Amino acid sequence: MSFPKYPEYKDSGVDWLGEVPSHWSIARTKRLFQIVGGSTPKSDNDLYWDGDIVWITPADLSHLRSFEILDSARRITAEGLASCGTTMVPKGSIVLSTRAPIGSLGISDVGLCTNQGCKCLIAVNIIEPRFYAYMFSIASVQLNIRGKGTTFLELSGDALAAFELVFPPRYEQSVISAFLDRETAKIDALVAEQEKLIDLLKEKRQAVISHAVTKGLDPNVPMKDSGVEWLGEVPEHWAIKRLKHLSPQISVGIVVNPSNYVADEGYPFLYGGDIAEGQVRVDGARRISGEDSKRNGKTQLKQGDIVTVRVGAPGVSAVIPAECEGGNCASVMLIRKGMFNPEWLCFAMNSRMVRYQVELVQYGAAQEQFNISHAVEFLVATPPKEEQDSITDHLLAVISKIDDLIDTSRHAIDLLKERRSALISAAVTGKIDVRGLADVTQ
Amino acid sequence: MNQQSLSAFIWSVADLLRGDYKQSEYGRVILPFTVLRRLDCVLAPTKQAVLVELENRQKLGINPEPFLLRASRQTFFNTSPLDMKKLMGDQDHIRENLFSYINTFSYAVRDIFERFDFHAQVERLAKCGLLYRVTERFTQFDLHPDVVSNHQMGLVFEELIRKFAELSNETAGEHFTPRDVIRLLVCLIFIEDDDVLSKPGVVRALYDPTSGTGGMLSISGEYLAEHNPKARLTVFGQELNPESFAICKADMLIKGQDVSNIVFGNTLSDDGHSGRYFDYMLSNPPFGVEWKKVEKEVRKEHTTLGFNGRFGPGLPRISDGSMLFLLHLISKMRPVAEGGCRFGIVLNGSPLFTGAAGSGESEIRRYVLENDLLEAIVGLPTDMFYNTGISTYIWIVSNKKPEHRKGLVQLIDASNMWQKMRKSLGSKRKELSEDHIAEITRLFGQFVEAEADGKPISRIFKNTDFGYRTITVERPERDAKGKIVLGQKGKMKGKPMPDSKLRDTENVPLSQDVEEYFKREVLPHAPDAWIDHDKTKVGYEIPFNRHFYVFNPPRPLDMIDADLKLTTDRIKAMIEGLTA
Repeated sequence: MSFPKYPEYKDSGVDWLGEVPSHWSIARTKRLFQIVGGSTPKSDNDLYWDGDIVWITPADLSHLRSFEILDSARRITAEGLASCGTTMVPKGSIVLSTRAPIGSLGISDVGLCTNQGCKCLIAVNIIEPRFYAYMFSIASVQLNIRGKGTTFLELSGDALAAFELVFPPRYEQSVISAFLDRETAKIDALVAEQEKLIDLLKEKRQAVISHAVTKGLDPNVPMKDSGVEWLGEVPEHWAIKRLKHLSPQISVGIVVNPSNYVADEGYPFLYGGDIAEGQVRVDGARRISGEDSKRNGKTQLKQGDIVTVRVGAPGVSAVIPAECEGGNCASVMLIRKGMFNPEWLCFAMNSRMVRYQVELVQYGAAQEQFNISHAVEFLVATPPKEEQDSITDHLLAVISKIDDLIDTSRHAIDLLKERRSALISAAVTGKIDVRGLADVTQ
Repeated sequence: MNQQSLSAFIWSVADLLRGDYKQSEYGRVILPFTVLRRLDCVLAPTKQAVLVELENRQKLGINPEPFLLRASRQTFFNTSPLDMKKLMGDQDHIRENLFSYINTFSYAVRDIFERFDFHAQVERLAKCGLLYRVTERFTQFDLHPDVVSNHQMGLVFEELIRKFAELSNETAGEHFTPRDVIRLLVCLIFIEDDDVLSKPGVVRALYDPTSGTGGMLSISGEYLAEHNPKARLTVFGQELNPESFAICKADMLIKGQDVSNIVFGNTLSDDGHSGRYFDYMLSNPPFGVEWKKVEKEVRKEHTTLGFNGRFGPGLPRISDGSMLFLLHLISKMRPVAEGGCRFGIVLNGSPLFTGAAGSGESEIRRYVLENDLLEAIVGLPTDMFYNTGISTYIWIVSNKKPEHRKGLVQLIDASNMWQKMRKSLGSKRKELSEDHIAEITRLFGQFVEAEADGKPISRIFKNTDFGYRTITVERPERDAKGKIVLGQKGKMKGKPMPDSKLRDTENVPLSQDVEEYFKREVLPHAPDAWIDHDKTKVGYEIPFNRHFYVFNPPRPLDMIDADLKLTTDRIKAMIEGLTA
C-alpha cells in the first residue's frame, strides 16, 4: 500500500526529522512541555512504602504493553511523596525513562510520580499526548546518543529540554495518532499470530522427534507394552535399554577447576554453554592445549561421542563433530560412541522420552542439574541399528524443514516490527499524509 | 633456557607454597626472592673485592660507600660475608642469617625489601617450616649476568609480575595496565618522533605518575629498544602502593636503570619530581576515585599557587580525581623551547563531558582546548581492563603539535577494534591485536578522516567545535494585573525585574552568534525575554559518541511491504509442504 504525501515540504534542519510539511513547525521539547524529574523515598522507612501513589521506574515503563500507565510495581505513601523531591503529575503526561535504559515511555492514565530514572513531560502547549508518545517511541536512538555516563547512560534534563520535535497543528496530531492506533494494532496482531505459529512449530518439532524415537516410522508394525508406564507401547522388536548398557563409557568432563586448563590456543574445550540442541557451537568455545587434553584422556573428545548439558539447561545434547576431535569438555556428561547411530541417540536424548527422565532426577534451586549416577540408568527405547539409521534420516529431513519455517517466521516478525516503526516514523514526521485515512472529528 | 621457561621454572616454587599460601599471595614470596637471588648473582664476581675494600676503608675511618660502589661495579653493594650459598650451610640459623644478609645491602635495595614487607614473609615462611626449602630452591637458580643478561632478566621478572597480577586480578587494575593498551599508548606517543629517536646518542626522559609495578615504563623501554636501538630512555615514576612500588623499583634495578628516579608516595599531594620536565609521559590513573585524602594539599596548591602550580585551571568534583592527573601531567611537559612533550593518558568517559560551563571539569577542558594541547582522543572497546568493563579513552596531549594539526583535534573510534580473549582475566574479555594497534596508530599518524563499514572511525574537528556559551535568559516579573515590575534602586532602577522562576539557560555553540541564536530560538516563544550577559559562561565538552553516530533513515514502506509479502507467501507454501 502506498500513502499520499503532503503537497509541500521544507527542510526541518534536524538530521533525523528530515523534510517536514511546510506548515509544520519545529520546537524544542521545553517549548511544548514542562519537564519534571523524580526521586526515591528512603528505602528503609516502611512509612514511605506500599501506599497508593503510583511511583514509576524505568522497569515499569519497559514492561508496558501499550502507552497507558495505570500502576507501578511499587507504590509510595503520601509521607513518602513528601519526604523526597518527586512531584505528582496529572493524567495525560508523557513519562520517559532517562537512564538505564533511555527511551522507554508511556502516558499517565492516573496522577503519578516517578523515581530519578524518569522524567515527566506535562503539556504547556496544545498537544495530543499520543502523538508525542509515538514521536518519542521512534526517537530512542536519538535520545540515547544524547545520553552521558560512564557505567550507564543518562539523559540530562537540559539535553531533553533542547531536543527538537515536530509541532503540527493539533488536529493533525489527533488524526495521525488515531491512524497509528489503528495501524499498529493490526501489525501487533499479526506479530502475535506469527509468534503463535513459531510456538506451534516448536511443539510439532518435539512431537515428531518423540514419536519417531518411541514408536518408529512404520505405523503398522506390531507393538508391545514397554513395561514403563510413561513410555507406553513400543514396537515389538525394540529393546528397552539403560544408557549404561548402550554406551561403553559414560563420564563427566573435567570438573576440578576446568578454567585452569583454558588456553589461548589449542583444541576445542567445550562447556555447557557451547552445546545447543543437536549442535556444538565450536567457534565460540574455549581452547585447551593438546597436552592438557591428552592428560585428561578419559574425557578427550572423539567424533561421534555425545555431550549432554548437566547444569543450566540439563539434558540438551549434541553429537561431537569432526572439528572437536582431540578436544575436551568441562562438567558436561560425555556418552562414548558405541554400537549405535550417534545421531539417533542424540535425537532420543533430546526427545521427551529422555528429557522426562532428566526432569525426574534434576535438582538445584539456582541452577538445575543432574548427576551422572542417575543418568546412566535412563531408559532408551532402542530399535535395531538399521532402523536407527532410517529414523535419523527421516528426522533430519523433517526437522530441517520445520527449522527453516521457524527462521522464516522470525524473519517475518522482524519485518513487521521494522514496518511498524517505519510507519510511525513516516506518519509523525509527515513523510506521508494520513489526513484522509482516519476518522477524527475536528 | 629462554625467558619464558625460566620464569615458569621460577614460578614453580609456588608448588612449595600451595596450602600455606593463597594463589594471590605467591608473588609476595616469589618476587622478592627472585630479586634477592638476582642481586646475589650480580654481586658474586666482585664480592671479595667489596669485602676487602670495606676492611681497608674502615681501618682508615672514612665513609666507605663510594669506594664500595666502585668495587662492586654496580649501582648497589652488599657488605656481608654471607651469600645465598653460605646461608644454606646453616639450616638452624637461616632466618637470622637471611635478615642480616638483607640488612647489609646498600640503601636503595634495603628500601625495596622493606616495601615488599619481606621480613613478614620470611617470618611467615619460617613459621610454616618452608623458609629453608624456598631459599634452597632459589639458590639453585642460576641468574648470573653471564647466563641471564639484564634485558632477559627484565623480561623474566616482567613475566613473573604478570603472573602475580593475573592471579590477584580482583585488584589488578590498581597496579597493572594490560599490555595491549600500553603498546597502543607507546605507539601513539612515539610515532612522530622516530627520526629524532633514531639519531645516536639521543636521550629522552619518560615519566609515569602512577607507575604501579612499572609496566608502562618497561614496555616503552622495550618498544624503543626494538624500533630505535640507539636511542636511550631514562624513566621516571611515582607510586603510592608500597608493594607495587617495590616491584617497580626492583624491576628497574634488575634492568640496570637508576632506581632513584622511582619515588614512593602520593603524586597529587606530594610530587616526587617537582620542578622536573619530561619528553614523554604515560599514565593510567585510577578512574572515578575520590580525592578527599589529598583535598587539603590540592586545594592549597590551587588557591595559593594558581597557574604557577599544577592545578591552576580548575579542580574536578571531589568524587573523581582523574582530571587532577591530567593537570599534573600538563605541568610536567617539557617546554616547547626545549623540545616539547607528548603524553598519553587513559581516562574513562567522565572527563569528556562531566560538569556544566564554569565547573572545574569544564574549565580544565577549556584550558586544554584553548591552549591547543589536545591532539587526539581514541575511544577504546569496553571490557579492556582487569577491574572494570566500562568505556575508556586515551587522550593524546602535546605542546608541540605539528603545523597541520594546529587548532584541530582528531577523534578516533576504536571501540569496534578488538578480538575476544580465549580466557578472560577479571573484567578483561577483549584485547587489541597487533593489527588493531597498527591500524589505530596509522590513523593517528596520517591524521586522516576515515570510515569502516559505512561508519566513521576517525574524524577531525576544530578546537572551538567543542565550545559553547551558556546564556541566561531572563523574563520580567509581572504583578497581579500582568504589568511588568520595574526595579526601584541601583543598577536595576527603571528596568524590568527578572522573575527567577522563569529563568532559563540556553547553550549556544561558539560557532554561532549569540544574538542571532536568541532571536531564532527564544524570542518567538518568549517575546519579553532578554539575555543577562553578566551571567554568560563558556564551557567545553566532547560528546565523543555523538560524533560517530550515523543516522540511518527507515527503509521506504513499500520496500518493507514487498519483503513482507515474499516472506508470508513463502511461509504459506512451506506450511503446505509440511503436512505431507
